[in-house]
Amino acid sequence: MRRDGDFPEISASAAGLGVRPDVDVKLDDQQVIQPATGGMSVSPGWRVLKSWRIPRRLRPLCPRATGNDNLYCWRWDEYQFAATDLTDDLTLRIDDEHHGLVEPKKPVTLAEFQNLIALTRQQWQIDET
Amino acid sequence: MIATNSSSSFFAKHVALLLQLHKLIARGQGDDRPADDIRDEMDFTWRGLSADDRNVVEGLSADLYTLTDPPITAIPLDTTVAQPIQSAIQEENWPKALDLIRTNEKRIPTFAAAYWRGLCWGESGHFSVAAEFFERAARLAPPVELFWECLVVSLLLDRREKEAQRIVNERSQEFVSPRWCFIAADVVLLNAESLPDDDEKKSYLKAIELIQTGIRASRQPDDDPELRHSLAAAYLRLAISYDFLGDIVNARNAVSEARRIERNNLDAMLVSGFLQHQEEQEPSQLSEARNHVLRAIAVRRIPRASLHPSNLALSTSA
Repeated sequence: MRRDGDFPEISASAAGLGVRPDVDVKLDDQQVIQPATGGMSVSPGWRVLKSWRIPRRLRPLCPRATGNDNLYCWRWDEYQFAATDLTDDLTLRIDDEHHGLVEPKKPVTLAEFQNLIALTRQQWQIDET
Repeated sequence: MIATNSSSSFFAKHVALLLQLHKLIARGQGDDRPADDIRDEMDFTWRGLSADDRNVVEGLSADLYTLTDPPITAIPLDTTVAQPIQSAIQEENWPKALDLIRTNEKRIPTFAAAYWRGLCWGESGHFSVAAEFFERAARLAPPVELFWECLVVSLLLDRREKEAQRIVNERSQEFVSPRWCFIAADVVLLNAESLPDDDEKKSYLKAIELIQTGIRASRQPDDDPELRHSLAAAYLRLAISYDFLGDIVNARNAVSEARRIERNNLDAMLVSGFLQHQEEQEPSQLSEARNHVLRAIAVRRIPRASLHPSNLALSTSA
């Protein structure tokens, strides 16, 4: 994700803290996102990210990295990579050993979900070691 | 094959995107919008890949950097390192070969690693990737004719005839082996049809000259089946070249010679049949048929050879 000061930039893109409608989340007929149907992708560590999502400056540590150097890898220290509630409204669902999704715990609109994710902004810190 | 059947279209697309991304990075455009668009597309193709395919493409991502990173040149080719890699290539176990090359990267001269990687990708049908690695090998070890042959054949198989012509022109003074002459003739012939009439005719004459030079330089095939096949193919190229010029007598003589050298050569039967029936064809159909025949007899396999310190300075010959 891009950096905005000491924290990730909030944006509805692959490069920001947020989700992309129709890519990361799907809205139902009532324009609502249902729980366990998609969310913001996370992984257990930057080393298991896909090569094009790892900034190239990390090549000395990860030779396959081809990611954008304007992006940074972020970590939310408080939690292990396991299914858990992250906040009152957000939960982490693991869909394989290298991939998880931050999802709403109850049906929400896209704007509500973006806001819930944005509220976690100060929990994230850069982790590129 | 590197890719499993179930995921091969995603695999080919993903590999193509990865190659494009690396080219943008090499040009200093890795943080620009087009590079990010490619990354977003890769998120999609990734989903169609098997776990094995994912390992291969992620390995390729690291390997493609060796096209532009400073090369390792100051070490000799260590046969104890080369042997397992060449065995894996012999077994056509491409993922294993690629892993071995990567694991031993620092113990292998970059030109050798590039050649082997080119073989793995070329033999798997990914000619664009193969051409990149072969060009790297050739530029790092210009006297090794094999690398240039592999590059030109990969470009032809990737339908990049004009680029192949550029390479042939660049090396035309250096190499005179029969195999190079035949490959160069293929390139000239496959480019000829796109030229204006006068230049097209000159191209066929040039191809005939190259093929005859190659034939003269070839040793007698005796009981060497590979050499027989190579010579028979040369006469078939000659036949097609004469046919393009309307010289049907010399075309038929060349086919007869091909069939004399290799009695059961299927391509010779194909060309012979083509020549016999061409009077009945419309000129436009004929031109297309000639082109198909030409592609059928042109080099279709990337030359494969074991690398050994003793053969690296030598040109290979038919």
